[in-house]
Amino acid sequence: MAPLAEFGYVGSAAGLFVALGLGIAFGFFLERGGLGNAVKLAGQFYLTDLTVFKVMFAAIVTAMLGLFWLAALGVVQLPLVFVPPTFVLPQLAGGVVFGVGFVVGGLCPGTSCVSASSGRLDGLAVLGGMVVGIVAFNEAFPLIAAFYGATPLGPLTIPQALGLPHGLMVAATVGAALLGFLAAERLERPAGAARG
Amino acid sequence: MRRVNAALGAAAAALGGLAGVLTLAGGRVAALDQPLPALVESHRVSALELAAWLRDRRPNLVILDVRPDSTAFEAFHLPRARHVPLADLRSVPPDSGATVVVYAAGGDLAARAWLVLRTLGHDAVRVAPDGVGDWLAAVLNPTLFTDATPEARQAFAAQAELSRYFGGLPRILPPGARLDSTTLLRSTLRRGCAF
Repeated sequence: MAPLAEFGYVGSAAGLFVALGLGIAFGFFLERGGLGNAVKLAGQFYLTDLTVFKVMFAAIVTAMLGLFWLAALGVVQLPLVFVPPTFVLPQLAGGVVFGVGFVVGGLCPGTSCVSASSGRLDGLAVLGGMVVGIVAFNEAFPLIAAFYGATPLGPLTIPQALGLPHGLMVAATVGAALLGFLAAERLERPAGAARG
Repeated sequence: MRRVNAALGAAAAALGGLAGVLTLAGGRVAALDQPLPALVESHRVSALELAAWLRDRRPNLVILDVRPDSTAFEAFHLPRARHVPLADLRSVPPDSGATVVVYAAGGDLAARAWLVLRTLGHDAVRVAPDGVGDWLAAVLNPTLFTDATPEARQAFAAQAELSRYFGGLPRILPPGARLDSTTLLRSTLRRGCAF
């Protein structure tokens, strides 16, 4: 029965170990997918290498299908799964900061850790910038505290926001992912052919 | 590799398509869309109903306080309640003849406990999301305004009788008057509980 913590199978300490194991696995597969390389990630923005899109969307679809079908089989209780609360404007601003950082640094937080752990200096530089950003955010927090909690919508999922049943949302997302993968392959092929 | 990708894509398409079809067909998969408040709505129990069950010595009644904090439980809890936090609910064995009541002090904690117990095989589970607050207000400190209707006065008489059984203090107040939470808690702690 899951979520494991809600049913008392794991406590907070065991939960941290599970998170550590999942984080190591995630990092390993990011590295094996070549996502520790900023040049490969930059290809995303030039539409020449859409590995990031494919890896991330494949992970989303895998987790979504797993969660939906485990819930349908009665293994997972969906209402007990933690959903982080939505704050519209602060999260939009955070998305912009994240996007600018990704374009400038060539890496996102997860891939910068992967890149740094495999010894890349640009990965270490982005990781250092991230630490500076975390410290700056915490120091400036009293100034932005009001904005940080602005426009709260509580825990909100896309099916709830759109008024769509979960199953239809799952079907639509899988369809969008498969079409996206096909489009990505077509976009990548000419660029790959041009390179040689 | 391309074959593996094609097979995984086909599997995802099949599972995604089936999710959509079964949702449109209704049944168990469509029920996944029910939010927690809607799930527990028909399983709520009011503080007054619970008080009547306790007074009438309803057989096989199990009352669980699922608040995480044992200090809050020791400071005040409902009569005959056992302190079993959410993560420890697996220690309560299902009993087909028992009625289990779970309560907390607001939020969705008691509703989550309801769902955990139902999943673990408990048949009759009732929920009082703010059992503590409702007990303090409706059972231990019921109030009637002086401009109340005859029907309300009649209902209050029964409520007041139940309240006195548990050591409560029914009050008749001028219209619009309110008891603050400190007064409620002080009078409650002074008298203690009937069990």
